[in-house]
Amino acid sequence: VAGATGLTPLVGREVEVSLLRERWAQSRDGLGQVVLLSGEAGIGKSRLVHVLTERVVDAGAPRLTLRCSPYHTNSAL
Amino acid sequence: VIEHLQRVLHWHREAPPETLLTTLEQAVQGVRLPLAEVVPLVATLLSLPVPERYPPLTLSPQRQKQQTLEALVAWLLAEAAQQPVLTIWEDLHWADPSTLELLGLLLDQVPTARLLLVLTARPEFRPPWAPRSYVTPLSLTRLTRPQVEEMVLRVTGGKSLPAEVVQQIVAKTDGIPLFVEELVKTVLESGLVQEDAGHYVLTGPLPPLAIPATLQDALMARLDRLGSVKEVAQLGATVGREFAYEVLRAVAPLDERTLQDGLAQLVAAELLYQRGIPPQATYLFKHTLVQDAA
Repeated sequence: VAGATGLTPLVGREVEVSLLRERWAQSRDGLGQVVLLSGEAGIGKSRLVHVLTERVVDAGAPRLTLRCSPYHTNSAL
Repeated sequence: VIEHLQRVLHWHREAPPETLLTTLEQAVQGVRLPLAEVVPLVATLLSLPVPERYPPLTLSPQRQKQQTLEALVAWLLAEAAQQPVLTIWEDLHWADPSTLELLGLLLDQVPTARLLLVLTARPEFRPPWAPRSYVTPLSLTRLTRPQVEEMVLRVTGGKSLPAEVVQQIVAKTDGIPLFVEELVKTVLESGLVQEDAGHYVLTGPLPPLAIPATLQDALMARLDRLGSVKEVAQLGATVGREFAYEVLRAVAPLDERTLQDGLAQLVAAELLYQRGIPPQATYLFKHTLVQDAA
């Protein structure tokens, strides 16, 4: 399964996925939302973001990704 | 943020500044923002020369920074006014103060905009802003034992591993999904098990240290097994979590064939994601830990 898609299988994150989808639906209707996903390295933050992104991009909405890096912490923006 | 703007403007390092400035002007016009107010600030941020047709910036550095942040917020809100926008801010624990300041300004505007902000951070990140009703904290927990077992099966494609192997995987991964995935792959690639009638069976006694204790070791081992390709991964890692083929080719002391083969192997090993086809391709390390290991 994972081999076919190159993605880590998503296990036990049903609640998180549905919350993200619900927040996107609210935002789309004009009630902007913020979700702060926190967790240790490898816990699946990027993986969850990927699920939401696929759905949103499929629906034709634009997506902006900003990625902070340990190599640029000391330079502005 | 600067990298993002460069992507939006389809930045080519070789392109003359005038072309980049025209692209910037078109982008600003596209979202119907006043050129005179936005272009000089953003151009300055991107180290582009501001042409004389714009009034010179005479602000104090502090004021100029403030107005630049406000212009960037206005830009995003103008985009959201045209259609709903999803913005993702990853790895905020590494964010610089200006980025957090920008995010703080943006947060105030979110409730009335068609905008979803998804922020990700390690647990040590303390948000510098006050709690708000429209900010949902979502903390990801470790997987339970049954969930780890399910995940193992998904990674092997439904073929069960010997119980003692699963036991070690459960014990050593602590319910961290990425560790589970990498360790299962390490075991499958190691020759410790072989497939037999839809199951994996041990090829010999299972040594207790067969599974690397940390992900770093697991990734290192996988990179080592890929041999010369490791060098390509290391070069990519010095460029960043995400890197463009063109940039890598410019810095790599390798011929194009070797470089493309190496990248293809890293993608096949699922250590890198690829978008597009070289020379236009960009690559993304699956996880910062993969980048660190390289």
